Amino acid sequence: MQDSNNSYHSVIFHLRRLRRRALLLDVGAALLLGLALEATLLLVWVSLEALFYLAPFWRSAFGLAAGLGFLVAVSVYLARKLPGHISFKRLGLHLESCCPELQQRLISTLELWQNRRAHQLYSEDLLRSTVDEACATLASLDPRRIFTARDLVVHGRWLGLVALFALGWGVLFTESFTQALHRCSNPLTVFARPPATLVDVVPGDMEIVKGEDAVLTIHFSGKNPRTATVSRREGEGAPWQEEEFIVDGVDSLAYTFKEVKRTLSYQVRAGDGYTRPHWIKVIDPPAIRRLRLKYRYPAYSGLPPRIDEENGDIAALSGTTVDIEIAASKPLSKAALVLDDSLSMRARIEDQRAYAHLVLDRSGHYHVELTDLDGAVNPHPIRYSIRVIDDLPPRVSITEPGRDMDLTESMQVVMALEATDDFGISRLALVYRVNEGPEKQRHLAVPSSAKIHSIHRWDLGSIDLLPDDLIHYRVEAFDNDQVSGPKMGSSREYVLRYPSLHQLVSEAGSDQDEQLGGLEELAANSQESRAYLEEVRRRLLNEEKLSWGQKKELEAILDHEERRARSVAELAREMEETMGRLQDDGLASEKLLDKLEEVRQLLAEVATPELQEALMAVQQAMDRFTPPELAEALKEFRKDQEAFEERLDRTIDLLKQVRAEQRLEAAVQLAVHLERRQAQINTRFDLGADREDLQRQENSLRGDTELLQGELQELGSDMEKFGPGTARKLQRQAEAMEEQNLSGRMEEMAERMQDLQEQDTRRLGSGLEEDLGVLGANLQQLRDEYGAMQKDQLTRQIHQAIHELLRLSHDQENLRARTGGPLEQASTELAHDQFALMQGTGQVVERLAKVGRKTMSLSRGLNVTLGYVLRTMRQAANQLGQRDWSAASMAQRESMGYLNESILLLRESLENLAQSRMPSTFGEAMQKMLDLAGKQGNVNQSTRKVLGEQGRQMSTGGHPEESLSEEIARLAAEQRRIYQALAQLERDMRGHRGAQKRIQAIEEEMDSVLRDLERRPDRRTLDKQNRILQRMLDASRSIHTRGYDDKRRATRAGEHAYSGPNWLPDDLGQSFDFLRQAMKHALDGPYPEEYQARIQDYYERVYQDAIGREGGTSP
Amino acid sequence: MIRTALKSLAILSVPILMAPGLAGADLLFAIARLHYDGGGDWYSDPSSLPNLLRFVKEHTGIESSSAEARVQIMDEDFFLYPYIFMTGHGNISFSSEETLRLRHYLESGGFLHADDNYGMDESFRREIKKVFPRKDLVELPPDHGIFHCHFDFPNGLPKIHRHEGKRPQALGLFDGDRLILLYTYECDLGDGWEDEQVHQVPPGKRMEALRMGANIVVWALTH
Repeated sequence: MQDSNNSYHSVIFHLRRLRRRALLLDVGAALLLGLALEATLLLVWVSLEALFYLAPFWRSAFGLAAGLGFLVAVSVYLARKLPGHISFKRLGLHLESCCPELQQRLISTLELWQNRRAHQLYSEDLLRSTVDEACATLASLDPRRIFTARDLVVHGRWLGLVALFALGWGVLFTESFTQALHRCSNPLTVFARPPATLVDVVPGDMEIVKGEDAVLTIHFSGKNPRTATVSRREGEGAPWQEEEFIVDGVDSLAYTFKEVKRTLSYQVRAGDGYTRPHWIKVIDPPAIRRLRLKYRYPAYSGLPPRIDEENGDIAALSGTTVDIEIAASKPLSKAALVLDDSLSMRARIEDQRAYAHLVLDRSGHYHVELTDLDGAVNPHPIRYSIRVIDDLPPRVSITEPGRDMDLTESMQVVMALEATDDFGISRLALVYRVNEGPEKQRHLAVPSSAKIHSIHRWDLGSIDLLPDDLIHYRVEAFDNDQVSGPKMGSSREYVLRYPSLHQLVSEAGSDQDEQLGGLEELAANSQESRAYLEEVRRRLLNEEKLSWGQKKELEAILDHEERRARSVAELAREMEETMGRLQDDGLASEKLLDKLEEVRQLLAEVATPELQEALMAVQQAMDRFTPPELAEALKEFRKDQEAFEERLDRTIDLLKQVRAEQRLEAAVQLAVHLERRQAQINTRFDLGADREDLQRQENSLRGDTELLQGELQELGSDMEKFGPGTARKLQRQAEAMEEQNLSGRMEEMAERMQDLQEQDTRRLGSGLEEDLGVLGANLQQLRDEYGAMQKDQLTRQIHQAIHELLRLSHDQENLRARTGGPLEQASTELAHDQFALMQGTGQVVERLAKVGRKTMSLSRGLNVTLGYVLRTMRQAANQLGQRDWSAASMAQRESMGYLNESILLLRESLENLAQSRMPSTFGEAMQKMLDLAGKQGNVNQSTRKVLGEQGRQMSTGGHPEESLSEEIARLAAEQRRIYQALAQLERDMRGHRGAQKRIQAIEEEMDSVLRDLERRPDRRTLDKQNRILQRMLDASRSIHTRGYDDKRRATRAGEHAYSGPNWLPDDLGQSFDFLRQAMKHALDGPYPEEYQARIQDYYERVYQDAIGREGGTSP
Repeated sequence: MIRTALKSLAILSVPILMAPGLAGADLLFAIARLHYDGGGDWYSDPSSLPNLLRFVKEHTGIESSSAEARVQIMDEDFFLYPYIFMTGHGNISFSSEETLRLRHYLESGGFLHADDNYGMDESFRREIKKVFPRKDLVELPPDHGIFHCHFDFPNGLPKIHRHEGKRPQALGLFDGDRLILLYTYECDLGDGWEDEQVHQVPPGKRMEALRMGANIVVWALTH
């Protein structure tokens, strides 16, 4: 009984367990069902909302329905399931139906075991057995078989399916889904229906760098719009600016805000759709506020550092270091210099500044890249230029002689050089070659400077030159560039010709022959015109009328006469040129040059002003056509014309004499030269020089020797008129040359050279040299004898003057005796005699004046003393006329004293003449000037040293030492001595205005130098001294140029070697003219034509005002 | 506008005028002699320009007129001449209007050759300083193109007449890089261009003067 009771309890236990499972499954399935239904309804709700934008009522209703759906589903399900699973008996029935093996035992157990009556009605055993069997069967049942989770799974699947569907929708239509969800979550809120066209912009809000373009992409969805409008505004209160454009069916397009400079808002509208306002924020990029360039130039340039803040363009010498300081508009994170768009150089950063440096080695350009702390980069950086300024090669020119020329006898060339460089010249070199030989160099000492003017004397005497040799030369200048190495500039190449003496003589001689021929022609055709003029004059006197034809003929003759006078003047000028050439080439002695000068002066005086006036008078009379007046004018003219003819004849005679003397001089030099050339050939032969070359030289020498022989013969006959003795000796020399067979021997020597017969060649050469030496010596002796004869003439003239003055002194003494005697004669007779004495003295003075023009040997003071003689004699004559015997006697005594003094001075002059190397005026003057030039050169040298020392002492901050002051004083004293000597020379040159003026100009400059030396000499003092030296040298060279003053004659350009600047100034003579530049710029602008005149007028007025204010002048 | 026209005229005239077939009477190159005030003999050397024009025609191929033109600065046709020549022995004077107009002419592409016939130096320098107060006359060195553009003058400006015996100088005035004015001083090219018998200039010297004149014309028309 007890066991069965336990079984019963066990059955209850099992039932309870099964019921619990069943209930759990029911509840779970109900909940899942509710959820699935709820989810389905919500999805439907949201879908309906998304599709139809439900009104709040319907939205709320659907929401409520969706919410109730859950409760209904759970309730219905539980109500249907729970009753069968709560009661044991219904549960037992369910089990019995599910488990046939229970065979009603379970339900029997539940119905009967607790029922007392059943115990009474049924057997206990049966009951127990039923309970036990029910218990055993129940225990063996698998609850999962009885209560399955099928509903649970089905409901779960449903829910999952709905969730999956919602998720897919949400993913595919996120926005509409979320919006619908949003609206559903606010069921009572009224939501506007979405537009048909949806507009969207990408990226919407953005930040850009100032000035950049902002690019948007606008997307359209829904109904495609036809147009769209972009609205923008800068700032909150600013009005919107709209821009409409055609969309035309596309679903997206790009829109660009160009170069946005300020922050702005924008919105896009299309159809009924629009975006929300977006913003574009503008941020300022970093920018360069200021560039500061500091140039540090290479040391050799000597340029101080320079700071440039004007712009960033760099222009400097190669090797210059440029420190670049960049001031930016905002703090920087990094900066770089980018060279030529390729090479980036990092700059050092300090807040808003960046620092970099460049060493210039080539031209190009650069720009600066700046990055601010936000990473913004400066857009479109300015490109600056880098220009490496070339250190230009020096420029050098030879300003003097500055032309090709022949070497003179001195074998020296005075060269004036001008060289400039942008930073300094380190050295100058004279580069030359003889013919096509190797180039040689001579260093020219010059101070290291950027601009050099210097004068060098090049002595070619040491160069072994032969006639016809050409010396090609130029000057090279080197600068001091230490970066890329010294650069060289070269002058133009000039050529010096070493002419043979014969060539020089021939050239000069032919000029003179032409001049002589011209003069003779002028003289020859004058007879005819003179006769015609006389005839015209007579006809005028007789007939008092002149036909038109006669008048024209007369005019033609007068015109001819005028031209003849001009021709004479032209000849005089040409003669001046010839003289210059003779002097340069050393072809004429000083005495000869003096004579030529005399001829030239005669020529210049041939066409006298009186002749010109007479000619003019004739022309005027012709114009007025008054026959008597014309006849008178012709008469006067004829007189002057005759004088003209006489002077012309005299000039021609003198010129012939000079020409002959000149030829003699040339012959002497030629002979000496021939000997020198022969000696040179001999020496070269001994040294083994090129035989062919020597042979050529010997043949050339032979030709010149033959020419000399011919010249001597010709000269012998020409000299007959001027020096018969000299002429005969010349003839004899020519004959001697013939006898010696010089020409033949030279030819033989040349042949022997060719045949390599050295012994014979040497013998012949030696003999020829000796014979030519004798010839030269003989000719020199001839010339000296001829010169002595000339000097003798001067001596005789002075002796003559002494003799006459002695006689005059004696006569004066007698006259004084008569004046002071007891029997005084008639005063008129005494006065007349005194006057005659004065006239006689005057004639002597005139003759001495002529002598004085030919020599400087006349003692100084002679002219003054003679002047006193004349003055005292005139006084004596006057006083005799006034019967003032005692005063007259006193004056006579004085005149005697002056006469005696004059005689003493003349004797002194004779001694001077005897000692004089060159008796002529200009020869002496030239010699003196050269001596003074030498002294001046020494003074200049000393001044240069003093200046150097002075500069050194000043640079050390000290005062000039006492020794330096003493040196300056010594210099001043020496300069003063030169000045005094020059002043004396100037006095000696009285009567020669040209030379005198040159010396006066030197004196003025020297006076200024003296004043400088008394204060403190400086660089300008030295410049002045150098100018003085140059002028002295010029004066000594051209001291023969005098007198001629025709300013309108044609002159050879070659005489005026260019001595101006050899290059144009960099600014071409223009200072920066802002107003003109501005005007040109304005006129180049795009203004209408009618405005251009106004613009110009405006600027011209401003310009006029500005110039007026600046200079007080009105342009 | 005028500047462009003058430049075009100057530059284009050379090729146009050098083509004989195209040279019409109106296109012939002519030098205009400047008739200035002040009392100087602006008309001196009357045969010089016709001779020079003839020489230019024969030796450069530029079709030139046989006669000179004469013009005053205030004349309407002043700007029609790309090449103006002035000379004389005496005083020159420009009024303020003339100063302005001459400046405009030269800056607009015109060219002026002033030749000192001995005596106009002082007044010319004074007046030209009024025209261009901020420009200085600069000496043209012998390597300047004007001495080599047609005939070669290795030593620069030739000396024709003696005058003061100074060296001859070719002085230029520039506007930018362009030579707008040439002043030949102590040279007297004009006398060299005159008929041979007028000044008795030797033939060689006269030829030098004409060649130099041709160089100036060529330079002015091509630069």
